[in-house]
Amino acid sequence: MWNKKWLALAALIVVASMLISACEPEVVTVETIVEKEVEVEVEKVVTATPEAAAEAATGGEADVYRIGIYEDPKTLNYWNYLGPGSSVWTAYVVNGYAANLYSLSDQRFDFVPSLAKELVQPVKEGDTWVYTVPMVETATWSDGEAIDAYDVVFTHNACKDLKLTQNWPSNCRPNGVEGIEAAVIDDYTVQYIFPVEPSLATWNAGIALAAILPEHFWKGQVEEAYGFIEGVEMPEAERPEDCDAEDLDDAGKAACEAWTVYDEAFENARKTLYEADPTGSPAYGGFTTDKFEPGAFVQRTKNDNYFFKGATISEYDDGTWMVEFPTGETRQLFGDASGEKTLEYVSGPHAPNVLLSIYGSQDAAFLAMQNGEVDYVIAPTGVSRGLREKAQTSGDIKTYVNADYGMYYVAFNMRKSPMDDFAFRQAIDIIVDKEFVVNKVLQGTVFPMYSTMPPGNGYWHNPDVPTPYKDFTRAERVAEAIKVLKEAGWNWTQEPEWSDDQQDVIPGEGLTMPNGEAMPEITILGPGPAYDPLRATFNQWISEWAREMGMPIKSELTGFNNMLDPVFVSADFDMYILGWSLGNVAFPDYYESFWHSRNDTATTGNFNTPGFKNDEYDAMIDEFMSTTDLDVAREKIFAAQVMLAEQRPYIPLFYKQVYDLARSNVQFPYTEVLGGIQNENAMQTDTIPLAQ
Amino acid sequence: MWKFLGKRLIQMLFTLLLFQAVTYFLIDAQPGDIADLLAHDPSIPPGERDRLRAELGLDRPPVERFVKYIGNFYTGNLGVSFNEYPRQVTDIIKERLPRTLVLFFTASIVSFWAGFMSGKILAWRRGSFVEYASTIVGVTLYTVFTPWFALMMIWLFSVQLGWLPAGKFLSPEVWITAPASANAIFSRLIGTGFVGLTVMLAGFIISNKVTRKIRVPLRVASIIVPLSGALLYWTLNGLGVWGGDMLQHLVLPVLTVTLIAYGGNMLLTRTSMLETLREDYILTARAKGLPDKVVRDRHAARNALLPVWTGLVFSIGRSISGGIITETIFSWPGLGLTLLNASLVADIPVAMGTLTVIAILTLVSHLVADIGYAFLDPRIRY
Repeated sequence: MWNKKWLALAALIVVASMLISACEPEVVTVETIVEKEVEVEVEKVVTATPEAAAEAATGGEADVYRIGIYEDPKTLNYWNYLGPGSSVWTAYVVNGYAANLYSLSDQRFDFVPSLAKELVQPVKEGDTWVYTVPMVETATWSDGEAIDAYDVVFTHNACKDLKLTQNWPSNCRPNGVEGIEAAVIDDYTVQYIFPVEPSLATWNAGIALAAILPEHFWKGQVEEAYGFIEGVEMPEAERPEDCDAEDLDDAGKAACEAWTVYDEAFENARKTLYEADPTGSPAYGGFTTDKFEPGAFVQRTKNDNYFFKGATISEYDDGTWMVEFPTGETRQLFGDASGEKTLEYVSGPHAPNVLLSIYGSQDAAFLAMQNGEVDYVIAPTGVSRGLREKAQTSGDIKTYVNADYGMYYVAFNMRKSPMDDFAFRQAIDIIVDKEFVVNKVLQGTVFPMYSTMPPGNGYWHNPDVPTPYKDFTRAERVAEAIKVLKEAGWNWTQEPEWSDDQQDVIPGEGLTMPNGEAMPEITILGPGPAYDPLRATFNQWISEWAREMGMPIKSELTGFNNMLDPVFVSADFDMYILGWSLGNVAFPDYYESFWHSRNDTATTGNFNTPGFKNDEYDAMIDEFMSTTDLDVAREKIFAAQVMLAEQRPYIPLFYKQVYDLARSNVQFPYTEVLGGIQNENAMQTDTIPLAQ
Repeated sequence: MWKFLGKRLIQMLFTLLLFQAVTYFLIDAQPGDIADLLAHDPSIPPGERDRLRAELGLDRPPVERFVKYIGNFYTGNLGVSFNEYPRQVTDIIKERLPRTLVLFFTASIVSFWAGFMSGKILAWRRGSFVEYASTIVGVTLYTVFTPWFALMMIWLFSVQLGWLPAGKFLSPEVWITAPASANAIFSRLIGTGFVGLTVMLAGFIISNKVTRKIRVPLRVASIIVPLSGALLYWTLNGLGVWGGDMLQHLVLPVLTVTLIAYGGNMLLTRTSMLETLREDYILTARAKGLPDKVVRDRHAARNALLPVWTGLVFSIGRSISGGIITETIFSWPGLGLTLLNASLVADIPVAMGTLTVIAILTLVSHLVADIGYAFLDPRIRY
């Protein structure tokens, strides 16, 4: 009898203790949120001073810089990495393997020379435009072999001749320009010959940044790949649209066979190169990858031959960019260094080794950082608030906050009614109270966005994009939306109205479109709260406000994969909410991808999902893509932002901040950078891990 | 028996084929494919998505693709991974299956042994305080939410006590200087474990055939000799540091999975024993004056073993799919984690390969369970 009582008591104690242990930490962390957030804001600028860097460089550095990642790299073969093996995690592991003639500067993303000696201009020669690029003569691969013009031409030709795929085309046929030739003038001078006038899109954001790989290492594998396409001619007959069609005639069948042989030859060539063994491949950058234990870690070792090793990189507020090499040689661009110094650091590599530990999940990686097993965790998908708070409780972890180079938006399918109606899109824009959702509902975790260019990209962001409804009250929004719709011919059987007594909207009923038909039911597709609570929240608020206006709009929260087909393949949707990470900060060519009519998803499968078609916009973006003048390009993007804000194929909703968490022993060369430290050029090579 | 085996093998083949057909079309029916995911980047030129889809064969009708897949599968070609292109699926499975099997096989055996031994003793001592307490512990472990429990284990043994690593299957810093790959050393560990267990088992079997006088020394020797041999081998081969590091990393996940599985095994054995103890032949054995230990171990426990044996064998088949959570939390790069990642990115060849391994393990488990019945229960004959 007593036993049973004791057991019952013990059982209660066990259950209670489980509940307490499960619940208690949540309560405690809620208390610390505000304090930690405030601390974060204060301590976010931890730019390494020259003194600190020098001090660290002379002693106290750790032997290994330990970074946590969540997934295995897909490949260590750089050819494969820019092809089908591309992934964000692979990027961190093969970082620095390829050399470049030019690159983008730290923090400001200016176009600056890397292995090229200087910035060059094209010269028109007959029907072609020629860039002659002098290269530095002292740069070597990690194995000591010189990096020369032969490497540049070798990589360019392999990309072009083997029709390398996915990310490669932007390295040898940027923006779809075919027939760009590369030629060796002498060991350290390379020439690029363009069949059309080059532009910022094809040179600054294309060929000039192209990957260069070592010919002496890869020659054998590339020749083997060439073996598959030797003697293979492109079929003269046009490629039939459907080789499975039953009514295909003999000529069609012959054409299909010829194209199959042709395609298979290139496929085999590419496959040979993509699966080539990269063991021992020399690198250009700060580290070589020496060891990869799948599922466990990647070990990278310092490359003492790195061209920029020991160089001091400085930037000034007058725009000057300067590199002072240990040899005394100096490069200086964009100014006379008369202003205040905004950045200075000594280029690495500093740590003898970088160890990228692979964890199965974000939780496991951050737990490891809290435990001191890693110095920094790369979190491209963001760090949840809970994890940030938990990690900060260790007291030895710093949080760095930066603006994200991304955009979250709601898009309209302008191929369908009523989304093709300007007034409808305008009315939706008016009733969407971004400030309310961001500040009140989401508690300021994100920021309202008004232009299609995130404000963090200061050079391209147009601060004068009109925001006419920004400060509207709820009542004003409802009144303005009613006015806009009525002027366009929309009607209600019972008009919505703002009630001062109830401080709420009395919903409208019987909404009809200008053609007199009742407004059809519309769905806003969007990711569910498990995938992204922010977008799910916006989705529900937008549909709620629309319903108040009498619009039969409903939210459909679903998985991201479920959205791929209706949004990006068949373009069969009404409205959707998603986000973009916007890529190249220095040249925002997404204005062409997302809104130029030649990229209409419905007809081309490309990324103009709304089906936005505006001749004026197309002409503006064509000019942007073809100009060689940065000022002209900027002017066009400024104008494009205004036009998109007016036409509203997208309504930008919000942008996020990026949180980077690192242990305090890690000294980054700088911490203020668009997109966060994880996107920083220098995140591995120029970072100094101090001994703990 | 041979006829039975032949029939079962043919049945298994048909079941496997059916399973592959169902899973293939289910995976294929998922919205979006890997080409959509890999080429979901405006900087990738137009047309690359279609080209990629064609290169991976995703532009062909599902039935045609399935027929091709099955044809390749039964000639030993499981294809290349879409997500880790152009890596062979067989290479991925060869790399990760042993890790999962070692983790779950070890946990299953230990939890089976511990659960069976404690279950039979608790049933024998029915009504005691120990029985009530153990039953509560067993029910708690059986019903505990696995991710929470695994995180609590990490928090206790790694964060608070600092005794064991928090996750992963090795310490990167130790392995920087390793002269061989983790898989090579892991294979040696498996080999050592296999030889050691075989020697132990042989020793125990032989000890049952010898006189009582040398039985105990023989059993002690069959434990000490393989253990010493293993220690000597790992000391002399110069790989002991890395082998030890892996073993250290194995402890916490094995302990966690063992504890979770232990509850079920113990409760099942206890219940099965309680039913067996009510049988007439147990009463007869007692009436014959046989010692309690003999009645419990020889008469009751052997008959109570059947359902527990079934549970053990099936649990090995379930280990991969059941290991997804454990492998994720412990960053244990086994086949469960591989299956999860492959499914998330629609990597059909890897997902199919992994699911097929699960199916084969499950089918073989059923066969082994049936064969085991014949040995455990003399009344069962095929």
